[in-house]
Amino acid sequence: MQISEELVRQITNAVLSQMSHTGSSSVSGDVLPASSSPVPSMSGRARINEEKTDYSGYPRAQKGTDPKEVVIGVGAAFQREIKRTICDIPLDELLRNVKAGIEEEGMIPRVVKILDTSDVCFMALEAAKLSGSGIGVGIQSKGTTVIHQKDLYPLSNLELFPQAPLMTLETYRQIGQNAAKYVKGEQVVPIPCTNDPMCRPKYQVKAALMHIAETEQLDPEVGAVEWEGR
Amino acid sequence: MRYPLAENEKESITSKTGKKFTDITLDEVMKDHVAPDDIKISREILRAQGQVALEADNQPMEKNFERAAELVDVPDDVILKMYDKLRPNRSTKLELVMMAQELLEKYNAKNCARLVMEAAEVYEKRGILL
Amino acid sequence: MKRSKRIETLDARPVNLDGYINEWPEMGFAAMSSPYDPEPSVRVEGGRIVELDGKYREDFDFIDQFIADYAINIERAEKSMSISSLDIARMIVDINVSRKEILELISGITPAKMTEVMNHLNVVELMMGMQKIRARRTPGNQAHITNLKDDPVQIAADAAEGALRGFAEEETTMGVARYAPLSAMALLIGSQVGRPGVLTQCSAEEATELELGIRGLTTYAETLSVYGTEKVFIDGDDTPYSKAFLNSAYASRGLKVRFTSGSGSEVLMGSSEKKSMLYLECRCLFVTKGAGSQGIQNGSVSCIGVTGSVPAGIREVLAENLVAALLGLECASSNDQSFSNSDMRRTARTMLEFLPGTDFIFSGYAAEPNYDNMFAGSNFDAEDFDDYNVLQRDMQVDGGLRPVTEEQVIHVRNKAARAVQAVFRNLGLSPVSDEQVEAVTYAHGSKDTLPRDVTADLAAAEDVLKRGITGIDVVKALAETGFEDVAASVLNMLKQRVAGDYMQTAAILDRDFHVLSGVNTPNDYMGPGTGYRVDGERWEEIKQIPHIINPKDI
Repeated sequence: MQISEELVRQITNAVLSQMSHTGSSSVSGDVLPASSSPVPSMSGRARINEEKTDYSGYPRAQKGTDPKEVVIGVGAAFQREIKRTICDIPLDELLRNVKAGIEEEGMIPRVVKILDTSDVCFMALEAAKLSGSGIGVGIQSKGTTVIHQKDLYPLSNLELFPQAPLMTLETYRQIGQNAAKYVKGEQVVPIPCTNDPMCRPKYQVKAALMHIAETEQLDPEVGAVEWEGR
Repeated sequence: MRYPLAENEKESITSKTGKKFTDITLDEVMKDHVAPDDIKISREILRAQGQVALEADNQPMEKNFERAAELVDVPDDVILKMYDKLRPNRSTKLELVMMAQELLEKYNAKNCARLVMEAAEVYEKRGILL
Repeated sequence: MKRSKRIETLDARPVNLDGYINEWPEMGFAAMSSPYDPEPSVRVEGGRIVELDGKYREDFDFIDQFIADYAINIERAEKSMSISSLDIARMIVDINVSRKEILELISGITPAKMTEVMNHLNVVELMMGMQKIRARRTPGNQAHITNLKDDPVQIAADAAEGALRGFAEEETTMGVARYAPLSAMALLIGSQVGRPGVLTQCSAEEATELELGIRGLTTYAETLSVYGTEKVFIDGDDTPYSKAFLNSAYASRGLKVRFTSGSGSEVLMGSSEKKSMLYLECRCLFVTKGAGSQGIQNGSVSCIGVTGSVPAGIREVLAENLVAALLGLECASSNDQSFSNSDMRRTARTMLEFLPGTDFIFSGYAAEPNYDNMFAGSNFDAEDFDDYNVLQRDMQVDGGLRPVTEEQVIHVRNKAARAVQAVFRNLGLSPVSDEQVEAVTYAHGSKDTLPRDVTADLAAAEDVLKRGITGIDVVKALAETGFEDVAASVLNMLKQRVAGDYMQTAAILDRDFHVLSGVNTPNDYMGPGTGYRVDGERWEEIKQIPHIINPKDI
């Protein structure tokens, strides 16, 4: 599935890197090089990834009973079609840190893959409902994360980290720790917010493409499956 | 009633509890003569604002004022609960029908009841009922 | 390849840090039109719309059905639809055709027809349209009041300064959602210190926002989001029916409400159904109209990074603002989200609403430095105040703000901070120290303020909800602690909901709490010599920017 990531990179039109201009490398010819954009048109294509992963053979996610359990619900394309967050954090590393954070506080993580929604709030709520403790974490493949509790409104949350480009592995570890602290009923100090007003111009198109790539992998028939790190 | 009501009709405006608009003053508040319910709008004023909207050729807004007038006596927690039940994938058809019935019979809110009944039909058709 | 120094220089310019993408209609990356947009059509049978934009009633999704039943004037539909889109477009820019006449005609057309009309207008014509069709005679402006620490004392001070600078509405939101009751309270108090009559709002989850409104801790609501496809509407946890009910619920408590939409959200959420951004936004606006809302915040809003990335994206943003105005809605025309690294590009984008004037040119000008803007950054921030004032003066345009002096700023910031300190103490909420008041008074942003005890604040916020503290309690607390003038203003804000005048289209309040809306001060522009002109006292005020050369000093 590396191809699709290539494609995403390609069509976001070199947001960060400088665009190297193609065309004639020589100045001696008297033919003016073509002025058309080097980015190929995607018109006519209805998907980012032609293939859709089949999850029908995976074990369905069960509701947990252990009151120490925190369920992490990851996005449909997580660690499959998408391997890194919007700011290039490997998803394997990300997941390892959230789990470690939960374990450090003495709680037990369980990972499920959410296939009926790609909305991060609904993903987190579903994880919370599957969780033995009622606390869940939703993580989109682009890195956007929410800590949720099973009896809150879907679009409410305990903590929301909307600016995925600003996330670090340390933040993900703290998210795991805080989720565990909510289980323990401790007074939790929310992780301080970060804010970069220039995230939107830089990343929003890429975010849209990554979300499309995630959404097209949804399979509501299957719902949610157990996903212990894959 | 002539718009703006607060300028042209202030003597005849009363709040939901019947408190006169001109009696809502800082003095009265400090004497504990103004309760939170005294600063809620009345059905009559909402209908008057509906007429203002209609005269401005805004029929949908007039209908909204009409529905609002019907909801004046519905308690806050009931309103919040009803709104939540109207969200997608929250209710069975029966629950929505019962809600419409409650609006109609308990609160005489026929326009709101109609909106809920229409929602019940559309939600069923679009598969967003429980 | 040997690189050109010219091209290298250009490549390094801020504008090239922005994201751009080619049109890709299958994924919704198409601004003004998509080959998949429907052809306009309407058919009425037995007093009911049975066909809308090429779809039969049995195939309607919940958006189509709501629009057909609530948003389109059925008596006018067939006649309006028989007039060509080009003719309607020409009437919009014709100074001899009145706003009233156009709105009547428009009330009978469909979303696809509206899309077609907009495609006939270039940006200058769209601006001409906006100048004439905007609801309120005078343009207005709205501020975002937020900070990274969710510090209520800073919220109050920034609200006071923002009100002083001319914003007619102020909106807050939180990094940590549970702060909402304290943020709302601080904003309410601060705004009235700066200028009596400023409306305030706290953007939160729908049910929370409604509760804060009912309690009188806010004076209007804006976060009633609507979307252009059924799938995204459901992801947004609502339907047109739940939103219409919520709108009526707010109105039943006498609160001003504005809906929110904006192109690009369907693309960002991966469900655009291959339609153009403009067509989907037209659907949102028809839903808003059908729900009986007085107005909308739109213009791509938080998805401007998507709409701004495609060809003609910024033209589309103005087009959707104009569509709102054509439906008779108050338009708070976005400009509220950072969208470009280029100062040139972000300014040019704002000129499209600034020059013709809209009901609220910004639906969130960051009245704090952008690093403190918890809506993820606005297009203009506190550091642009003087630029903005100079733009008003250069072009003799009313952008809703005014120059202020340093003494005034310090005065209102300090008073607002002390008022919040007193109210919190009086109500037994989390303490505010004198050092905090001092720091906030002279601060530019949260980097200059002291840390808050977050745990104590969150406990206090919960307490506000649990104890059922209302606007009346805030009035009492203010009066008991020596802030009678602020108490009187807050009470006057609460009284607005008893009279309900400010629920009519595009209403704001002046400093004497007189309502100015599309009903009693309608836009009467009909070409040169008519409509709102910047003159008299207001022009004198705009001229008084800081840093004017005194000839005597030479």
